Amino acid sequence: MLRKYSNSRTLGDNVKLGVLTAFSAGMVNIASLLLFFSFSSNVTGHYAILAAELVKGNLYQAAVVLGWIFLFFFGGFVSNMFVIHMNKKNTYVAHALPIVLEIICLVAVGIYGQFFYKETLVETEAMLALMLFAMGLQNGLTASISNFAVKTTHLTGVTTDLGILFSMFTHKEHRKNNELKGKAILLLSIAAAYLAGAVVSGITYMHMGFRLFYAVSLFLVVVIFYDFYKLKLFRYLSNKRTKTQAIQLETIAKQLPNIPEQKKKRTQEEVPAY
Amino acid sequence: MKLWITYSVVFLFGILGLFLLFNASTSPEKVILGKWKETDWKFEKGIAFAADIAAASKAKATQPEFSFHKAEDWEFLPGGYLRLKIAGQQELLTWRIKGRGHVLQIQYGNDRIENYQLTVLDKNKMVLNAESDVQARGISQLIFEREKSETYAQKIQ
Repeated sequence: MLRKYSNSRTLGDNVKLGVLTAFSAGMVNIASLLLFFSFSSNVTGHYAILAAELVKGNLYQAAVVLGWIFLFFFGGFVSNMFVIHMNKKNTYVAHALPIVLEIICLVAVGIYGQFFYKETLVETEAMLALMLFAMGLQNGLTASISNFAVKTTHLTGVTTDLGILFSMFTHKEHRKNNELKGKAILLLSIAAAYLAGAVVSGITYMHMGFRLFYAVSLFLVVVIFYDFYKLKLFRYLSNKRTKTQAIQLETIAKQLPNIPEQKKKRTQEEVPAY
Repeated sequence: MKLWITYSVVFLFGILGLFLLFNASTSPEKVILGKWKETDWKFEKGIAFAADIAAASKAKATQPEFSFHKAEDWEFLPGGYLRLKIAGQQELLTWRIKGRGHVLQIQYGNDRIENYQLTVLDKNKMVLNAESDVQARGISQLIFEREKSETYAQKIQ
């Protein structure tokens, strides 16, 4: 999911990354709406609210919303900075670091909310700011490494693209186009995962409260460790295979000590003399 | 190096602008403090729905999300306490402001919570929109005016 970059990514890589991150974004968005009365994973609405607050002359609210929009933007900025500056050194680390930062933000919100939150407005705004930064990080990373194919924190673009794709499928030639079909599968998976995350969050919020953010973080841990595990497993299996082969060869060699000599003799016999 | 300086300067100016905006404004948590007199209570979707809502409220169909306070004095105290005066009797509740400062949450002792949209909040006027549930089919608006307390000049007269 995280090892590959841009065009080297397969549809499967993008679907896996899209589903897991969209699920977590859906969870975070609904959790923030239920706990703080504000969305945290999409900023289109925030732009409209910013304009409305400016028109009404509510400078405080306008400043808050402007700060949130900036933090979402800054999340994307930081994410892509990691990707473009560290990609050549270690692709996996470059792609995993924004997710690690996102987990830190979400766990911080969970811990603060569970143990210290006194429900003041400043606390609410600060926690929403952290969540928007986290969502900016996630969206920036997924968009950056997938060549803008995967965006998982909001569904405006996804829904638009799906509308376009489904209208394209009215032509027979497009229906046979595997690339378009793949794109539709990816977008549908993202939309379904986001919705599922939102529903799960809505159901479990009453029981879990701020502990919900630990659950979201777990999904992101899966995203990080999936590739890490695959890399380690691959290395482990390769090493084990090599070791087993070496042991088997050694055992055979011990059981048949004369083989090399016989081989040598045979080789000498077989080789014609010039 | 020059690029980094440009980026840092732009970000710093942005953050500075935000701080200036915060300083030029007052938090709704501070603006709301004090005594408010409920002056009007109306329904945005017309008075025809009032009967529906009142009936639903009496039947407790809309509880616990919504209830009605009429002809009350509201006093928002620091520390998140709200003193309601209803027909000479007092009730002490807790209040919180959520979101970007646009939601007023009032909590009763029995964990009942009411959420109001703070549509207008300035020095003299406060308008709360109480969104009722589907059964009530309406949005009520509670309009308040700040009670004039005796100023120092009035006291020494």
